[in-house]
Amino acid sequence: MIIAGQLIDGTGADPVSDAFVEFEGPTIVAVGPLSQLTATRREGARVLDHHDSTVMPGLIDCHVHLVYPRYYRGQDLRIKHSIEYTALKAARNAAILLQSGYTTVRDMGTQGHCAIAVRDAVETGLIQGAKVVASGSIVTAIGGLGDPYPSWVSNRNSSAVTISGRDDIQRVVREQLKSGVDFIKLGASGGEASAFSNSWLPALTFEEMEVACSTAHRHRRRVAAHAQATESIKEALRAGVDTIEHGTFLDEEGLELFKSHGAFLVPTLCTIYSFLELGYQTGAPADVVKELEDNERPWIESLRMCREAGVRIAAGGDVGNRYPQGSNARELEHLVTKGGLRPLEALTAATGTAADAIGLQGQVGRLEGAYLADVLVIDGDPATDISVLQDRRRFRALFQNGIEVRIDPQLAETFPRTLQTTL
Amino acid sequence: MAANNNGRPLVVRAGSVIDGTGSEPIRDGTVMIADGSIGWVGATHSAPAPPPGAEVIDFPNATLMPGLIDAHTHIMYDRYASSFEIDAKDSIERATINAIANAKKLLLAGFTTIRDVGCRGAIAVSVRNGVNDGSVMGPRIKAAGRIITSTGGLADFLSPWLTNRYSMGLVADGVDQVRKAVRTQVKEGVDVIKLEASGHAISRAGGMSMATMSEREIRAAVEEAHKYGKQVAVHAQSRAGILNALRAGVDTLEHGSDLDEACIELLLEKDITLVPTISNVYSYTEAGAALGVSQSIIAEVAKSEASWVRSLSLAHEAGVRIAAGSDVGNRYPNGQNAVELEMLVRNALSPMEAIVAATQTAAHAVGVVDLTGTLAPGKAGDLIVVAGDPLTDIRVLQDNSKVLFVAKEGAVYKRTQ
Repeated sequence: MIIAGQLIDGTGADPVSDAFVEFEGPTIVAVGPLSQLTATRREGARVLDHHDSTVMPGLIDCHVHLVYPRYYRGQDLRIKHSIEYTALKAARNAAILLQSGYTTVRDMGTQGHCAIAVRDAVETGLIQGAKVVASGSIVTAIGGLGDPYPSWVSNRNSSAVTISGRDDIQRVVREQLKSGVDFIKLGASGGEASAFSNSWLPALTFEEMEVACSTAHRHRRRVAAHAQATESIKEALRAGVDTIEHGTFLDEEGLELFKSHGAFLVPTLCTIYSFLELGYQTGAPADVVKELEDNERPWIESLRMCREAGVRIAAGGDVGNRYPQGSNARELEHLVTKGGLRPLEALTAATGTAADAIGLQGQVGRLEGAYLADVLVIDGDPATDISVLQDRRRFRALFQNGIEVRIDPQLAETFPRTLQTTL
Repeated sequence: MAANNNGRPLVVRAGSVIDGTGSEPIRDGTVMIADGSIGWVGATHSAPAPPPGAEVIDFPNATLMPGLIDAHTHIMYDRYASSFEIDAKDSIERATINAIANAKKLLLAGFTTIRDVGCRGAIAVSVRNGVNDGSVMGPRIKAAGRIITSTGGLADFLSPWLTNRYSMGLVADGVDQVRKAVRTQVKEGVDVIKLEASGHAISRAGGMSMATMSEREIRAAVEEAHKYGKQVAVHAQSRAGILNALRAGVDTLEHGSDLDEACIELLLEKDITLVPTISNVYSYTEAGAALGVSQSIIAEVAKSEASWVRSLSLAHEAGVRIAAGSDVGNRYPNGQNAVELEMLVRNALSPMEAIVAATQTAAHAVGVVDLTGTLAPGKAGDLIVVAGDPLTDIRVLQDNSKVLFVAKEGAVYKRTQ
């Protein structure tokens, strides 16, 4: 299979017009200028001429939640829906994400084993969907991130598992490793939407996170931490996490730790703007929306600090319960219009750098020899206008592991900016 | 989801139209569908003009018939090799995803309605809801959920020293526990209650030749279920188990592999539908060895073949209602559900009778007879087109590539020209 067009290779290099990518089976075998595409090369190959379009790596979202329903008050739905129905919707969302150009996603917190189940079903070809790098429930402190119920209620299908102390977190991490997670998600601090905490409050201790990281790393698994409070960011980095999600209140000392540990930042600007745009409509309480309003400035400033210091930025939207599943490319638009990134930087954050952040370096995220053939062909130039990625009607072709993905015409539309569906 | 006629009316023509009632097929017939329902059925030469915007589709060398109905499915079955595997091999989340993949397979194989009679946890109810709200593609599902079972009975699968958070069996002993189990299932949102009256070749306490639940326990389940407007399906193979179930007044009898005249009388007197699942025999004796089923299990099933076949013949001769239910998934795969029609024909039924068993009578067994199961004005637009003639060779229904067209409620899910 040979596809010719304007190539964006995911490394951050400028787009190259009149270029081609060639793949055989699941793997890319060659990338280069059209002049190198000799008749001998063309012989026996199927050639797709998309010279008016952009050929790029399939998109990668480093921060999804496959189980998120389209409604803010997720805990109400967790009371209402069985784990079986949740797994069904998670599988459906993986299909929607693939149809939206996302060939790989990292799931940052699920209920039960939903993310693992979807990952395995996609991998064996049982269902079609984005490839999933899976975690389990978010490992959090009592009353911390994602712990939404008062102490007289427990829900075994919660998307967070609460721990207290080093032994406890070690046990939980081992249980998750046994169930087959690809990485561990920690809730280092609270969040704006936390029922019993806030974004500026720490949750897990340094000691707890250190045990989690050493246990996971010994099993060759990575660790990601939701960290917004200043001290939480620093403690998480010192503990050895591989990526920081959100990173809202970063100080200079934290920035140094980012650099010395080589950790990635996943800013998730959609978290901010989905609340500011749709928070009230989706039933968010006023104090949560206010906290997001207050957090916007420091959040953007933290991103600016990281970007200027050369900290690697990976794109992840955290969408699903305000912005709909599939609208993930809105994160790239926000990285450009709010975060100050150039479009090509945002694209790299959602391809090459994203792959590195989630442990898939060398496998996906770049159009280079020996990489997997996850390829998106889109009418338009996202390096000029990043928002074209949100319009699925512009998709001309999509490949995952070298296999063509049929673009569903019923899903091929542009994402609404307003909340259209009801609960 | 993924229906591709966008609500347009349909005019489907075929060389032969079988309406599901047992009547002679219509040569060169037409079915017209609008707003999800059948509007007209008859010979093409006397059909009214197609309404504006209708899609007209012709299948000259094929047979048009009602969407098939399987009254005994297990959509979560994934070629499990043992009862432990059934109950505990997969996470409940993975088992749910297996079930949604199978539901899609069944619809594309021509089954527009199914009655799922046993799953772990809330799988069948969830897939039913997911089909109804458009999240996934599949047949109309009537879900029984978990099987109410006695300790050591049919669906009490695991060794006593194991615990399993999501099991298929809901253990209930004694009238009070059985009532509670029925209420538990009703609370979970099931459409039908499934119970067992005898064990299985591999059961820990009750084998195929014994009764497990007593008549009193089954009667308590029937009373409680009927109170909530739910029908009761009972797995029964042993003579004693069958008699307990029939005397207790269940609605459908699953398997019924050891019937005598007294049983037949009860089946007729109480108008209980028999779902023989006769293909089960051959899933062991013909397909079992290649799949690694142990010889002892195959032998036990083989011993029951004569009685099972004789029971089917007795019931058929006496005019007992017979509905097609395949029980596939662990040996014959999910998707090959039409093998039941082949085996019904091999043993007692004519091809037309087998087709009626998988359409009109199955609709009766499943509780949807007013809605679907025959091609008649006012019924749901559930229909399929299969290449060739199933009356000549019933096995054509098992060949997915020969199922050319599938519509459910007037929405087209499969079309091959």
